[in-house]
Amino acid sequence: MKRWLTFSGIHGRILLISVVPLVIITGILTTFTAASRSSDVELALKRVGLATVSYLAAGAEYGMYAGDRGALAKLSAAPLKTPSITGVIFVDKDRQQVASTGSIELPADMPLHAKRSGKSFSSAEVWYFSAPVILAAQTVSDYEDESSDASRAQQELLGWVVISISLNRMLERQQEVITVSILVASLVLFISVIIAIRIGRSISSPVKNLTQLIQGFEAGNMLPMAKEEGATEIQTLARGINRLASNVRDSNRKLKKEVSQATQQLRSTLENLGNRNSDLESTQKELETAIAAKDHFLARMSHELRTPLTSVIGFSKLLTTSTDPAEHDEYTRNILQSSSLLLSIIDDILDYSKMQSDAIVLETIEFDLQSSLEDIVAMHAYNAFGKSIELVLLVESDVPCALRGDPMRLRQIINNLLGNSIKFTAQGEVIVRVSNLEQQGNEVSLGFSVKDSGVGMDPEQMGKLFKPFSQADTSITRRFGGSGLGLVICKQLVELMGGKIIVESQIDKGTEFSFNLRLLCEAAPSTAQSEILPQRQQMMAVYDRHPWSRRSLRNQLSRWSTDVYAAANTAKLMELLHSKSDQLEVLLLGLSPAEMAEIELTELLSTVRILYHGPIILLACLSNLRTKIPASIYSTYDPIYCLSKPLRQENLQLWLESIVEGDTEDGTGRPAGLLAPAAELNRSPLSGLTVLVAEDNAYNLQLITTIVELAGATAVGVGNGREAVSAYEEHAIDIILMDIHMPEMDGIDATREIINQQSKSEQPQAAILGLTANVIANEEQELRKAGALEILYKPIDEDALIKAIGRHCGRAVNELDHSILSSSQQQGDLKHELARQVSALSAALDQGNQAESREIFHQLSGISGLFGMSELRERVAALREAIQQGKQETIQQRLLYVTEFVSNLHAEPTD
Amino acid sequence: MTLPIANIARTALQLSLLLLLYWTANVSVAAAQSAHIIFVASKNSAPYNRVIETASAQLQENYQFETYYLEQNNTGLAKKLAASSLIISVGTNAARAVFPIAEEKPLIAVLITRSGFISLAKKHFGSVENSLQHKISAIYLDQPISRFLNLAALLMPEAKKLGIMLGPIHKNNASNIEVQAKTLFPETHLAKIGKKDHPIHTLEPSIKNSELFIALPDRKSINRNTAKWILQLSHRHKVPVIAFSKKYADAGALASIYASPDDVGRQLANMIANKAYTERGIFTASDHFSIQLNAYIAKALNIQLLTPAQYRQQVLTLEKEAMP
Repeated sequence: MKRWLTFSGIHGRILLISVVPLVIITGILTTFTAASRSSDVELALKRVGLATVSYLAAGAEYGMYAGDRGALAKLSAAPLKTPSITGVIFVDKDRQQVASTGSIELPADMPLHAKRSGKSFSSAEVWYFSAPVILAAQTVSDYEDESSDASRAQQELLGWVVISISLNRMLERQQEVITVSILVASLVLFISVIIAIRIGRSISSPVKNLTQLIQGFEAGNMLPMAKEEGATEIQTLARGINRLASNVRDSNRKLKKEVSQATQQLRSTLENLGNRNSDLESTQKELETAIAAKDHFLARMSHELRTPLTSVIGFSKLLTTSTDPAEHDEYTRNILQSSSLLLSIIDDILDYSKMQSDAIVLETIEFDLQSSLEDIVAMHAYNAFGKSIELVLLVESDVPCALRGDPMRLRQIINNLLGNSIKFTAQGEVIVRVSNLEQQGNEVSLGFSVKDSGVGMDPEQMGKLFKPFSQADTSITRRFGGSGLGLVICKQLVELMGGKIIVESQIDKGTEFSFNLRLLCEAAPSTAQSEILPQRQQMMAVYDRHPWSRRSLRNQLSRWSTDVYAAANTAKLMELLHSKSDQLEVLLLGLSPAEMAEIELTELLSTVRILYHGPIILLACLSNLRTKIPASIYSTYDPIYCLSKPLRQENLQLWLESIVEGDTEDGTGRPAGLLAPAAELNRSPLSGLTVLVAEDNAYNLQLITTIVELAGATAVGVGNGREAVSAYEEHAIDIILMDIHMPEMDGIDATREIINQQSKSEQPQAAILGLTANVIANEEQELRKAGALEILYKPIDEDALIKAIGRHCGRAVNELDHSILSSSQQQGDLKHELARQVSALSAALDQGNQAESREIFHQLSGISGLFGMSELRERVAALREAIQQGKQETIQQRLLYVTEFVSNLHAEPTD
Repeated sequence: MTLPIANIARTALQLSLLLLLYWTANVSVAAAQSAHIIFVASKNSAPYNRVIETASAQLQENYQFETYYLEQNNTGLAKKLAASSLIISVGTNAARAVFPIAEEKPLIAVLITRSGFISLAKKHFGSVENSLQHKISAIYLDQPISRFLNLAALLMPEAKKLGIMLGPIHKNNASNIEVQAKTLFPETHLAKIGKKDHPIHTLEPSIKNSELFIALPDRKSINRNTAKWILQLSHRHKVPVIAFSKKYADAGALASIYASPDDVGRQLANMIANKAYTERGIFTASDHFSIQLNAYIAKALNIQLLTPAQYRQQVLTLEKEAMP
């Protein structure tokens, strides 16, 4: 096969078509030549024999006729000089020898013809030729009739001459001929092959070069040129290829140019398409985001509407159980505020719709800026102080309060901004500040800002702020709630009112929303206001470590008296008291949560009372005032009163007037709005205890916190293990309720961390009680191993929970006379929460958001565990299993089961 | 009145008859003066036609010629010969064919040897004389022996020894020939060959001992059987030969003296023109003859030769001188 392949090339084939016929022809020619030459040699020998014998016969006529042996001998001498002729013999017609020369003997059986000569006989080594010797007549007549007579005359046979020819030389000669023929043929063949190879190369080499060139062309290398060498046809071919290559190069150049242009055009087109696609994608994304936001919005809205409703219902219930008028007022105010908030949310939606259709018409009415803002701030006080956030309203003293404008829209703006700030601030402060930017005549430009020390935002999140149905982070919606319309409405309202809202924010440092509005101020303060805020000369002092609170208090006091002092710390306070205590009419102590601890408060008050014996007003969060200030404080450091933060200007005014003028409304010695001493409220079994509740499910957290607070304890709620550890470090925690499954840090790790801290501290150790819905022995064992003293199982048994807390805190706890879990309000909240979670789960599944799905599953498991809904728990577990298996049909079916369960929840009592 | 008319008519008739007689007489005279000559040739070949052409050319007026060849279909030839004025046979075979049918018509046989005519004459007329009486004439090819001897003397004037081959025809005339030869060549050797003689053995002594050898024409068989050996012995012994035909000279004789077709034709024309054959036949050799020389032989034998014409003239001169 390989051998054949070597002849596949043109060179091989040329050799094949030239050498093979050459070999064949040479072979045939050599054979033919050798045979021909051998035959020629043989024929020549025959001719020599025939000629010789014929000549001898002719020459022997006289000798034979005359019987002249000498003449015959002489005649036969010459032929014997020919090497092959070995003998000549003359015989008469009776075959009798007449004469002979050389070595010859007439064979007895040799035929002799009378009329012709020829090779008469042959043996292996000798040929015999004979010729008759005839006596012919000589015609001498000039006329033909006589000549014909002569020709017709009978010719007389005289005898024969016979010669013998040896074949040895002929055979040698034939051998020579064959040898020479073969040698010549070989030489010719060799030369021919060489010539064929050279000719073949001369043909194939240019072709091969051209082939390599073509292969190069195929590989894309069009630069080399074919050498115009070899045969004329090859040169023509090479010229053709060069021309072709040149044309191809030109074509390629043109093609490349065209392709380049086309590519450029295509790139441009693609770029345009890309841009359009990007735009479309962006639009689609925005659309999808908007749709998703709307979906979330709709799913969330009912919950957001329920939040203030829950507040209304909750405070209403508290109102029924409370007998204290001040509490009644506070609860009523809160109910009103919550109702207003509810209304505001509904208004948000309506406003947004109106704004979309430009249907909002601003009012221009007289309003009091201070009280409007205080109402708003008061609405958020509970949430703010619940998170230990310092909520400050600072209306600069040069800000005119009697204004004309749309107070409802202004409140709506501030409310939204403030709600956001509190929502996104875990600790620190939220400051609502109003400043006078410019005033010309009766037109004043006010700067409003709401600044917090919350989580802050990055620029990307800030870009989403003012878009409808979106918040800075989708997780925000879940974590913090909200319609997502607030900022949009704010922005549009501000712009509608001729202002501009801006936002500045830094991650982990906080956010500040600020806007400016141009409003009309009343030419002169109203009569009522001047009566309410007369400029007095009584000396007043303010102590608050928080600078903004201190400034706010000072501003408020400054509106009542011109002689107001402020102290930023106890040393300054002592210094002030040391010098001014005799003149001081009232001392306001703004207390931080840390200072609300009994020890610190006692220490502060005892120090103050050394120098000052006048009225002291404690300013703190309402809940702190109720729960943390022991009754002994009031008796020991009397006269002492409490006011809840944020301090209302009106309340402060009334109290100051009552202090100064001794005018109390209810005869209790407390001015209106002033809370009763906390000791009077302390009728709960867990009063005085601070309970840290670590629960990632917001609803559960709220529920447990409420249960604990209703039992008299102070609840510190956190959403995960890490926050639990931090809260434990910051607060004096008496007992910890620790859920196991939580994000960031689970309950086991958090327990381990807290126990570790406790081991390093000399302070009393807080007991840790585990909360779990699982019955997995491992987890329980792990939690106990980490340091939990007891495991409480979900669903939560209120009574068992309170008793367990009391047991570990050394409090005797009787049976509770009420239940939070069984309240109708709680049932409604539960159903609503479950519906929200299921809706969110459905959306998360549709979007393929696994993290979200996992989180919701956890929430559902927690709720179902907390409330002992085993069927729901099973259905949720089945759904989770189907999701893990990836069976869409099963997923949809099991999701429907869960949805049905939640929908029918009102008819299904919890087990 | 009748008489004059009858006289006129008779006169006119007489005149017409006279005119008719005059015309008839003139025609007969013309016919008598134009002889009808028929040539009968042995072959339609050059020598024979040459004789006829030569004779005809010289006899153009008052002769009608008609030629026949033996190889043709000659049906009715006898009648034609009978109606002819003169029959001329050209060649021995033609003579042999014409002799029986010639009847009384004058006949001239040409291109025939002397011995051949004698043989035919004896066969058809008993003797040559009888044939001559029957107006049978012959111009034979044989040249007179004197011409051979004269030519020999002219060719080799110094030669003394002469050999002469004599066949059966000349056997009876051998002594006369020898005497005649010795007048010119004192030593003459005659080689007499018979039918059964071995030619080489007979000829070689004569040739070997001669300076010059003359081969006289004889019977065809003798001529044929001896010619080869005469020439071969002549070559071997370097003895020039004088022969009797052009072919002999071409074959190797030094010279030949012979009657060529032209010679015969001219002789024939003379004979017809002279009407010498009308009364009695003439039996004669050709007065005209030719000489052929072989220059190669002469050169080989170192013999200086004149031209044939010179030798012919000298022969004729010698013959005139020899005439009384």
